[in-house]
Amino acid sequence: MTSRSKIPSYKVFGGYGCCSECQLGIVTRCSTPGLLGRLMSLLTPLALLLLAVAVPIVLMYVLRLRREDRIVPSIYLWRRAIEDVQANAPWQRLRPSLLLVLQLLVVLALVLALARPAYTQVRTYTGDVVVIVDESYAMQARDVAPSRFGAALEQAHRLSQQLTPGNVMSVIGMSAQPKLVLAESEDRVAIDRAIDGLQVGNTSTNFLASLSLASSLARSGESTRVVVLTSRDSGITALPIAVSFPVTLIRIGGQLRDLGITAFDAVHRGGYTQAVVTVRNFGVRGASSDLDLFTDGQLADVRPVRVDPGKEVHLFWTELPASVGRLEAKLAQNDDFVGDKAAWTVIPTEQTRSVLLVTSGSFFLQTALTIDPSVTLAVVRPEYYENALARSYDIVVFDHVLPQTLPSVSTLLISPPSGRVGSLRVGQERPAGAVSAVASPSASADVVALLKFVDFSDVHVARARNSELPSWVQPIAVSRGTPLIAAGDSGTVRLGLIAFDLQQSDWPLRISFPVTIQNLLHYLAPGQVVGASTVSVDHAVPLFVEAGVHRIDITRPDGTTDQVRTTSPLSGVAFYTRTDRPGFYLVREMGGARPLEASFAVDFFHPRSSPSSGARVLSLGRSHVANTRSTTVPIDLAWAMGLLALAFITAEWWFAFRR
Amino acid sequence: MGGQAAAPVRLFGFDSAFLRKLERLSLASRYPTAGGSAGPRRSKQYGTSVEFAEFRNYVPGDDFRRIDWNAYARLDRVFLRLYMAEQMTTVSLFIDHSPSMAFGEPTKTFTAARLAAILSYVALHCYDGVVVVGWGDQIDCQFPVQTGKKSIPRVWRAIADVRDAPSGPTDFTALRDYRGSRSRAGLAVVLSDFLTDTDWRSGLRTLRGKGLELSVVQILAPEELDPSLRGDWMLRDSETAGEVEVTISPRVLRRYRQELAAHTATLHEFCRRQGIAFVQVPSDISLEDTVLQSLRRVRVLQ
Repeated sequence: MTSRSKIPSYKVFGGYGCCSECQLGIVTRCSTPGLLGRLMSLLTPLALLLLAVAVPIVLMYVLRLRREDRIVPSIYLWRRAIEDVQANAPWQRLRPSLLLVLQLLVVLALVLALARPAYTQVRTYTGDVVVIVDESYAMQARDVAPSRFGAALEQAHRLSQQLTPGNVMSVIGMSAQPKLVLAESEDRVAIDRAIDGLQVGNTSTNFLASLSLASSLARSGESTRVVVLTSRDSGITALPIAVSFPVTLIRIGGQLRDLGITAFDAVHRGGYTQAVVTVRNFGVRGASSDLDLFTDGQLADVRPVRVDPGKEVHLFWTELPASVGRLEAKLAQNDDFVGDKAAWTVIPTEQTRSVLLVTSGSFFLQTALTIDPSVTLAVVRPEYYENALARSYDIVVFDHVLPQTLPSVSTLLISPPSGRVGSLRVGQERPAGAVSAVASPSASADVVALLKFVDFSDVHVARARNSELPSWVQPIAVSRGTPLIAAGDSGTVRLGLIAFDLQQSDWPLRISFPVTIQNLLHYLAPGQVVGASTVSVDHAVPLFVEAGVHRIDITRPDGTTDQVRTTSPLSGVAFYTRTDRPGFYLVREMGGARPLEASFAVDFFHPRSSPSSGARVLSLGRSHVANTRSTTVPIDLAWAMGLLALAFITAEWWFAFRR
Repeated sequence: MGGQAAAPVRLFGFDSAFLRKLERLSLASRYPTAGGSAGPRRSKQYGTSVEFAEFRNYVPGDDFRRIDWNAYARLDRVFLRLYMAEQMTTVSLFIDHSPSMAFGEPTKTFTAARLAAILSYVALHCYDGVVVVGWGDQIDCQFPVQTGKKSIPRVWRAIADVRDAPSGPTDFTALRDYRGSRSRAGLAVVLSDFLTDTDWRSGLRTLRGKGLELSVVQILAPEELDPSLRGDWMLRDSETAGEVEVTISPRVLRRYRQELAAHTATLHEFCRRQGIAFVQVPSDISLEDTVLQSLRRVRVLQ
């Protein structure tokens, strides 16, 4: 037990002395102690008192058993029957008996196990360890067994086993949002449980945030080492920030075979749907596969793909049917990486808006309204306008006209004359000036969105009408206290107001004019449900919530449904963030004036590095170990005594019952 | 039987119906008798029975009365017509009445005495002679040969005396001292438990050497065949005062049964080789079973 073979040997690994048992670059030195340091000792010597148990055992061999006399016809057969087992009963005098010796040895071994013999070993160690385990998509690769992530967990467990008493270990899961799984624990069971609780995902890595987290765990005055277990192609080769502790970067990976889709997009153009797929070979050898293209769930095309290592190819489809809405591309050949074998995309549907412009003629306004190709514009002179006309349109724009009653659809009033309609009263013109945007704290998100990309700093208005706004209409832009632009939602219709004559301002010449008109159109007739048709995993998707929508159901690729409940009755924007699984997501808004459905796709597109050929283990940061401490570690041998006792018991049983 | 045997019958508890069954039996002999008085058994010699043996040429000195005159008339030659002789034999009953035979319920001695009484009854009823020998460490009782049915009470009394007399430990070498005359060689039945360290082989060979046609009946008590003892005991030998400490466990009992089987097998094999009929009976066996089945099965009775 005190042989030199117990002392691990070392070899230099990236400049650090590394125990050959761990191969992790961790500086845990187990020095060979001197003779005195390795003397045996007993951790609980009082247990030796239990040796007294041997006395009754010996007495049982010495004392004569009291037996009852019985006269039998003949002992002839009895004597022969017990002739060869008589060794079990040396009743009267203590005779040499192997059974007795074995039983005494059992007692001795058990008592020694309770006394916990131990020899001491002097160990020099470097202190605490912070393990950062990469949980990103790249760790899913199976170019090493069982996977890069599995190999990382094994190495983390090995680090846990080598943790010396008095030191703590922390575990950090490194993903797009790094998380502290375990902070400064000495308990190996807890450490192992924390390591086993790590899960590989589809996100990218955030090494900076992870390292910052590790820095906060480094105890001042103590020696702390950070071990980063990441993938070989994570691209991490240097520290993004200066740290005061050594960092050992272990890059896990082998001969990767990975042909993956890195880009996928599609548009409607020229009466067709056009699509492009980019396939890249991340492996070290040439790879080929078939690529299957599905449109709206139907197989549309199959093309062979062959890509040299480190290269990429682009595949184009230019004459797919225009009715296609959802496309999926799949590589048929499996390899070491599963996540990038498929990609999805959704072509955003153009929501057409029919707009009725009631005007005597306005060049700037007509131009601004027709910029958006989704707008179908109809113009009618004021004398021909009737309320019944409005029902056929999504939006009615009154230019220099104030109707007697507001139509039942969304309405935009531009420079209305004095008068009253509903609870809106339009007053006399008064001088105005510079325009400033106003964001009311009570304004809904979609009202605030009206100011998106709008800059009023160069806009000047000569005169504007003073208006008394209904309570549900909020001003967006004002000049000298006079609301110039306002918008609101009554719960049944939406209303927009531009309270000045465009001719009395320089606004139509500013870029903010068409932008504001477009924002107003989107506000008055919201058609989109999702703000992005295709995103990468873990990216948020904006959801446009119509007024009255109380719930949004999002059906995920695995068939489960997430529900988002809206608390505001007004329209607005919500963000869906659980886009951790690639595939199609179906969004349904429930409770609005009309049920709205839309899809978006989540793709596994990450910026990825090619496998680097650098060292597997990199030593970064501070290169020497501070505050190295030595301690004497008792090596408990109770388990060995227990095994010895078991062996003696087995031998005693065999000897007693073998015949 | 009549009144002559009425008193001895009570000694052994036989009833008249059982005795009538015995009267239909006889002791089996595998060899013709040689010598002795006239009796019912076929002899090696020619005699005057009604059983024709053979023809032989007349030689001067032959008895004229045995000349077959019919054959002389047909063949003109003189033949002598010979008939088988019929003689009695002697049945020697060796009863072991050592202290070990006093165990069992009923005791082995009691069973041995009843068997001897049965065998003697059968023998005397068939006009054979009966000799009763009791032995332990020596032959301490030997009653002279008795013949004829009238001798039954005397023989049974002698058997009862052997049963009740104390004796030393079993010693088969004592059988060498048996004074049986050669002319009285005949059947012999040895009744013993054979639980002894002494050389029983030598004793049996001695009797065989005296011309006796042997049968062996080993009588064992039920507790010897299937001991019911458990636990720790100091067992003392009833004959030798030897003792053995034993913790009787199922394993020890298993070993005891193995030793008993081996001992019985050795005895049986010896008897087979020596041409000795052997039967083992428990002391509590019923007389019906003993006589009508066990003894007949091994051809002691027929």
